[in-house]
This record gives sequence, C-alpha cells and structure tokens, in this order.
Amino acid sequence: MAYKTLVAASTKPLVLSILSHGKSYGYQIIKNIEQLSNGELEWTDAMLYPVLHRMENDGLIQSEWVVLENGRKRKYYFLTQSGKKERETVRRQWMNVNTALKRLWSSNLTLELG
Amino acid sequence: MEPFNLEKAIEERIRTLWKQQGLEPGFIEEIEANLRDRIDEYLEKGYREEDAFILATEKSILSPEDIADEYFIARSDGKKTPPWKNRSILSMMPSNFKVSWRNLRKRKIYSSINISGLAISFAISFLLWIYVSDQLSYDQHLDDSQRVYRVNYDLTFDGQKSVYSNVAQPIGPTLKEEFPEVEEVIRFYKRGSDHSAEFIHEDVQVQSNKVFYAEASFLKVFKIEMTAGNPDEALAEPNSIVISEALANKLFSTTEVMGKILKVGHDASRAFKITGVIKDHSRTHLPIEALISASIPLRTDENRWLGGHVYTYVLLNDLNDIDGLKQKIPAFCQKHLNGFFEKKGAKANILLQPLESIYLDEEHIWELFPHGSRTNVQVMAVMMLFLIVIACINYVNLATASSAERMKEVGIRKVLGSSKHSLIGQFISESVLLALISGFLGIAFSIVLLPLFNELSGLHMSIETIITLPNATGILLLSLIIGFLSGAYPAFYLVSFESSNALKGKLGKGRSSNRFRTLLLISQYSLSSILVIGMLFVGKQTRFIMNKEIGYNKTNLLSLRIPNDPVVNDKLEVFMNTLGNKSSLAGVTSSYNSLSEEANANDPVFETVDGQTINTSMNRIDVDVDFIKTIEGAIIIGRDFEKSRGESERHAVLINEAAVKQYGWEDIATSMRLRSRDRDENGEYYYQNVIGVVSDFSIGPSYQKVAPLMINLNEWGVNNIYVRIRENEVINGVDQIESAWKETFPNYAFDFSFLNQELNSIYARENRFLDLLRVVSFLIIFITSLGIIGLISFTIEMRRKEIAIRKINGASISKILALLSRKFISLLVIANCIAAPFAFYFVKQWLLNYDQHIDLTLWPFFLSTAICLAFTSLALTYHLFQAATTNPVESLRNE
Repeated sequence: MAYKTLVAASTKPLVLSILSHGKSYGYQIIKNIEQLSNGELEWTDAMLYPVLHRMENDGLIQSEWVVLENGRKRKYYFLTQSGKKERETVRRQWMNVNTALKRLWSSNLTLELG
Repeated sequence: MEPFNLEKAIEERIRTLWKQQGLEPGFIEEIEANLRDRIDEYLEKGYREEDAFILATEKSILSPEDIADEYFIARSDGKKTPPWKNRSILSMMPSNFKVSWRNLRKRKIYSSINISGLAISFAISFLLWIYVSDQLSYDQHLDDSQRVYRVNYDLTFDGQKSVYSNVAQPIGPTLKEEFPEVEEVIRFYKRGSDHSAEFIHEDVQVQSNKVFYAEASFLKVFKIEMTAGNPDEALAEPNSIVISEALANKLFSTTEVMGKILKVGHDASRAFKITGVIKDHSRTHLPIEALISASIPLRTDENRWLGGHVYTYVLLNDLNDIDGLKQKIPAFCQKHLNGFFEKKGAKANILLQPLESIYLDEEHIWELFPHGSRTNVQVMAVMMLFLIVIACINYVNLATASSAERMKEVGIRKVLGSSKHSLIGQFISESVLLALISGFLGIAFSIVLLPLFNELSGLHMSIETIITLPNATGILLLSLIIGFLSGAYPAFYLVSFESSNALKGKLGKGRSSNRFRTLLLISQYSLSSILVIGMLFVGKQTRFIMNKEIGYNKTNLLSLRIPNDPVVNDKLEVFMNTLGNKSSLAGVTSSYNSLSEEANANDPVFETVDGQTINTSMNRIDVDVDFIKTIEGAIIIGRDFEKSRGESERHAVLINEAAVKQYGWEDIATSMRLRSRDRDENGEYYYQNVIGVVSDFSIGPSYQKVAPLMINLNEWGVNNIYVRIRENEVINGVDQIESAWKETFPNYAFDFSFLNQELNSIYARENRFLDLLRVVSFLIIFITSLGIIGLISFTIEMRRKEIAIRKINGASISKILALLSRKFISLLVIANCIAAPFAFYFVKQWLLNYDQHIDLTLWPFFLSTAICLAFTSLALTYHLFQAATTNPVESLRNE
C-alpha cells in the first residue's frame, strides 16, 4: 500500500493521464487505477470526487451528465486545453523524479558522497 | 423477516448524505451513480443483492461524514476543518453573527428596544462606575497610604459622645514614643478659622483656603509627589513654605519657584521661602495648596490632654499591625487620659481611622473639608446593578416572548438536521451580537452624556480619562458576558421544543416560561416601584430641609469673610462704625464663628443658685453684642447683650432653648451661672451669669438637630461680619458696604456672600447627588417601560386572533381592553405590594441619617403605583386599541 501523501500527490497526474486517453467517469477511473497498479492503489469515492471537483474548478477538466439507456445518469469528465497542458507539465515533473529514482536504484551507479 | 429491497436500501443510504452540510445535490447524485455502478459489478460477479450492496457501500459511502468533509476540504483553499465540525460556540460565532444580523434587521422594533435599552444601561452604568471608582479612590495615590491612620479623639461628656477629627497636642508624639508599631507621626493645624490665607507676589493676590501649618515630617507620612524640593527637608527650616503647582502657577505663572519669597497677607514680616512644590491632586480628603513649616511644642502642663487640638496622623511600620495597636490603645488611655478626664466626669478614647476610608466615612467634629458619602456611593453602585439587571430582564423577557415567532424557524432548522448545539450557539450568538452592538453604542452614549454627567456628579472627567483601553475593553467584555448570560435562557428554552410541535406553533412548555416571564416582570415592576417611592421620599425630605424654619432671618443677610491679618483687625471697628451709619443697612454685627459652619463643641460647667454644679455638653459661639438682633433671632427669657453695660457684659452669657430643655432649667435659666473649670491664680473660679435664653436657631446644616448652645461675647477675634440690609435696598446696601470696604481696606478683596447662598451651598453635595439619582432613576424607569412596552406588544400580537374572534362574537372594545389589561394590571399591583415593604425599610434607614426628618406617609406608595400604572396603561391602551380596532378579517386571514 502506498503512503497517503504519495497517493495524494499522485492523484492529479493519474487522473490527468487517464483522461488524456478519453472521457471517463468516477467509478471507471477508480477501476482503471486499480488495474494499472495491480491493486496497489485502491481509491475511495471520498478521495476521488473532491479531487475531480477541484480540478474542474481549476479549469483542468470539464464534466457532463449523460443519460444511459437504462435511464440512469452518469457524470463524465474530460480534459480541457489547459488540462492537456497541465498533463504535459506534470508528466515532465514525474518523469524527472522517475529518471532520478531509476538511476539511483541502478546497480552500476557510484555516487560521490562525503 | 422482510426480504431485502435493494432500491430501498440505496435510497436510505443516499438520504444519509443529504444531512451532510458539505454535500450539495449535484455531488450526491454523482456519488449515487457511482454506488450503483459498484453494485452492478458485484451483481455481475454473482453476489446476492444484499452482499453486493454491503460491499459497494463499504467502498463508496462507508462514512457520509468523511465524504462531506473531503468535499469541503477540496473546495476550500487550505481549510482543514469544516466549520460544522468545529463544535465550540466561539468558532461558530462568525457565521452565526451573519445570520443573527439578518434576524436583528428583520425584527426592527424588537432589536431597537433591546439595543437602545441595553446601550443606555451600559452608558449610564459605565458613568456610574466612573463615579463610584472615583469616590473609592480617594487618598490611594499616596505611597504607603494603607499604613497611614488619622488619630481621632472620642470624648464622652455628660453621656454625650463626640468624635473629633483632631486630638490633643501630646497624643501623637506619645503614641510614637510608646509604640514601636508607629514609625512616624505628623501634626498640623489649620490657618485661621477657615484655613484660608491671602498669598501675595508683587501685584498678584491669591486667596486660598487650603493652607496648613505642618511639622517637618509631614511629607514623610503624606507622601505627596513633589516636582521640586526634598520631602525630608522642605519643611525643616522655619519660614519655609511648600506650595502646590496650581498655586505656583496662579502666583508666578510657572512652577519653577524654588527659593522664591512669598508673602502671606499684607504684613511685611510674614514672608516665606518656597522650599518645595507638590503635585495637585483633587482625590484626597485633605487638598493642600500650601504647607507652612511649624514647630508644635510638646505641651507638658496638666491640661495638655484637652484644648489646642492638632490634626494628627501616624504611619505604621511595614507590618501595619493596626489590630495589634488598637488592642493597646485602652491601656494607653488608662495610663494617660482616664485620670484627667474622670475628674471632669468624662471619658476619652482614641480611634485610629485608615487614611483611605476617611473621605467616605462620616464627618467628625472639626473636619477640614466636607466628606463624600459612602451611602451615596453604595446607592449608585446598586443603581448600576439595577440598570444592568433590568436591561438583561428586558432581553430575556422579549426573547422568550417572541419565541412563538421563532418556533417555526427552530422547527425547520431541526428537521433539516441542525443539532441542539448549533441552535443554542445561534441564539447565544444573536444575544452576544446584540449586546456587543449595545456595548459600542453604550461607549458612544457615555461620551455624549459626559458633560451632563460631569455637571450632575461634580466630577471633572474628560473623554480621554474615561475612554481608556482598559475601560473600553471592560465594557465590551461585560457586553459579551451579558450577551452570553441573557442569551442562554431563551436559547435553551427555544431549543427544548419538539420539532413537530415547533412547526405547528404549539408552545409545549409555554406555561413554565410564562411563569418565568411573569416572575421577571414582577421583579422589574418591583425594582421600579422601589425607586419611585425612594425618589418621592428623597424629594420630600430635601424640600423639608431647604424650607425648614432655621430660627433666624437668612434673607438679606450679607456675610463678609474677614482675612486673618493684623492690618485688617486694626481697622475693623472703624469699618463697622462706618457701616452702622449707612441708610440701607439695618444692622451690623461680627462673630468668631460662622452661621453656615459648625459651632465649637464644649463641656462647660454650670452652677445653680445653691451652688450645685452641673457638667454639660454644649456648643459654643462667640459673637458681638448686636448679633441676635442683626440675625433677627428671638430672646424668649431674660435679655440680650447690651452695649451700654460696658465691661460688665463680659460676665454675661446666653444659652438657647435646647439647653434649657435638655437640662430642665425652664424655671431657673436666668439664675444659672457658667463656672470656669479651673481656678485662677487666686484660687477663685470665674463666673458668667446666664442673662437670657434665645430661641433655637440652626448653625450649619439645618437637618442637624439644634444642639444646646451657649453664646459668649467674642474675645477671640473676628472672622465674620454679618450685615442686615433693609428690604428692597439690597443693591444699594451691597454698594454701600463695598465702598466702605474699599475705603477702609483698599488692598484687600471684597469677599462677600449672602447667608442663604452659603446655607444652600451646604446642601450642594446633597442636591447634586439627588439630581444624579433622579436622572438615573428616571432612566431605569424608562428602560423598564421599554421592556414592558415590548412585552405588551408581543402579548397582543400573539392574541390577535383571539381578539378578532371575540369581536366577531360581539365583544365590545372596552371589554376586550379590560380582559387583556387585567394580567398586566394585576402583576403591577402584586409587584407594588412586594416593593412597598422593601421601600419602607430602605427609606426608613435613609431617614435615620437626618436628625430632623419627615414622617413616613403612605401617599408616595400610592403615587408610585399610580406612576407605574400610568406608564403601563399608556402602552397597553395604545397597543390594545390598535389590535381591538383592526378589522377581524385582517387578523384571521392567514388562518
């Protein structure tokens, strides 16, 4: 299980990245994350929906209610232009972290310390 | 068991979300959609409906509260705790205040009655507090004031006890010698009979009546702050003088006066070197403008324990063991005084009076300046509490009375999930907001009322001295506390209703609240009634004193203060003779004593024809031959002093009617002789014959009983001249006296007053206090009326429909008026019945302060009921008439 702070920090990049593949709704996003993390990241509604609302307030995503064939309603989210830009920014940031960590953990690295 | 219904379970689960304040409709729909998606998935996996529901809710909405909180945190910037999670009333205040402000604005009449009543109460209470704390702070500015005590003499002659504010000369030094507790002692005496002097510097002349001759140690005990000079040395040298900054400014226009020479009077030999300047301070029982260095020799003769009294104060050591010292005083009196006084058939005791309490203690004989009154301070402190209590009662009464109007609001709030806690918080916030607004307004009102307050109280307060940060904080804190306290009952009362009853407008616990309101109303009426009764008696007693027959004609009697100056004394006879020839003047006389001040207390010995001696206790005045004639007193037995008898009149004395009655001399008055206490060098007593009896006349305040008095021909020196001016010739008369004065004493100011003015000034303090009391009482009654008017309007509002139905059924307006006013009138009568015995007790106690007072009559009690009735009836009639004359259809329309 990941640290709470790490989960919190990674929520936005993950949501942005999922939505960069197309529009999606809350439960689908939760399911996708679960699958992508091999069940390591288990998001609750209490965690995801407030984040979605904040991102919507910040203009990164937009939402629309869609009425399904069975008469039920579902709220879909999709990226806005600034959401797309933001996704690029966070991707670069996380890639930087990723690169740094990868190098650190590689077996042939020697660091000059002390 | 009922089969599991998935739809119903989902609905119930979602309903729990609606109670959460952090969730809005759109959010809840989304959560519901998600929940359904999860359930669908579990169902697809083959779970039973119930299990699918349980598993889905576990992941979706396990805790609705947590979801709501997360939504709040996500939407607010940086706030960690949603306001509804913060349970303290204080944290709820800001949002509650917003709602309260809307409520106050919605109910304008209710709010303005409450706010104005409370604001006026705050303002007046604050000003009264300023008055009370001013009076209580006398002499506390001096360092070590708690260790300073005045030595008083308690002498009992002929069973009559008299307490003197000064004592025999050796008492102070002997106390210091014998008791290690006494660290320092000071003695001083006043200058002249009225401790006044005329200071002269070049062509500036200043008259001061705050001048004393003091021993060198004076400033070591009275640690008055000095702006120049050394307290240990300032009065050490002869002919030194220490003056106040105010006097220095008047004489020299500067306070840089050290070493300068100051003349006292026109006698060139009386010049003093200024060796110190003290700060001015008005809050002291002993205001000083000048201290002249004096050495008071220690008398050692046999009669040293009586006569030639000096004011004596002791400074105790750091332990300040006053109780220990007081226990040793009886032995001290036994050792030094008892032997001497027992020979005279008298008893003596020494009293030690704390410096800080002198100003508010009762005045003893020979006090230097008038005192304040502890009773007045207590009365004002009680008034202060009355005001606050009545304003709080108003609030509680109006708030509970208006509960019907707010019932539905409470019901709806409860149904929507408001907790009792938050409702109580809301109502308390409302009263706190109201009290805070009143607090601010109160401060503003007190600034507006300050000039009037200064005039009424005789204080000289400025806005800067009263509106200080601690005072303003104090008022606002008090408003907070009052807001909390008076908001608590209505809050708990309103919240106690069941939501369903509240929504239907049923006042479930109405009866107990009604009883409580009735109780408060009765208390308010009672307090007001006590005040009105008190005021009526106070007014009656004042008129009684002012108009009391004083035994002589005080109108057109001019009084001249004669400076204690040898230059003046030499020419006095010439001056009086000049006045004797003036056409507008009917008589001229002089005296040692003033008619507007106390007479000297004395313990003369009288002897009957057959040689029996009688020790008496009498006042004494020393006057000129024509005194009784000039003041238009009356001789009722014997004769007056006669100039034609020349020197033989030195052996004559007059006594008054009170003396005759006290000692039962009705038949033998003019055969009595006044005998000296001691024999002369030839072993003979000195005798004076009682030549006549004068009808009683007052000396000093006329509320004091006329005491036995003997009148001697004056040999002590003239302090006062009294001139009788003929009727209708007052202006001419004063002109003639003034021109004669200026002709005889060109260098001296013409300082005159009329005796009735002087006598009225004795009552200035009483009058001022009465004015203050009147204004405060009026305000208290006004605030009570405000509350009652508010209550009446609410009561009638609540009974509007009843009135309408009664009208439809044929009731006349007068019948409706009678029916509805019955409750208020009966409460008023009950309150007055409760108030009467209290008022009776208080008035009786107060009247005991006066030797001569009015009788307790019944009419003020009835009049007070009538006044309260008038106020109530006026309010009742107005509101009832409005309600009763409204078309019944209007009142019933919304049913």
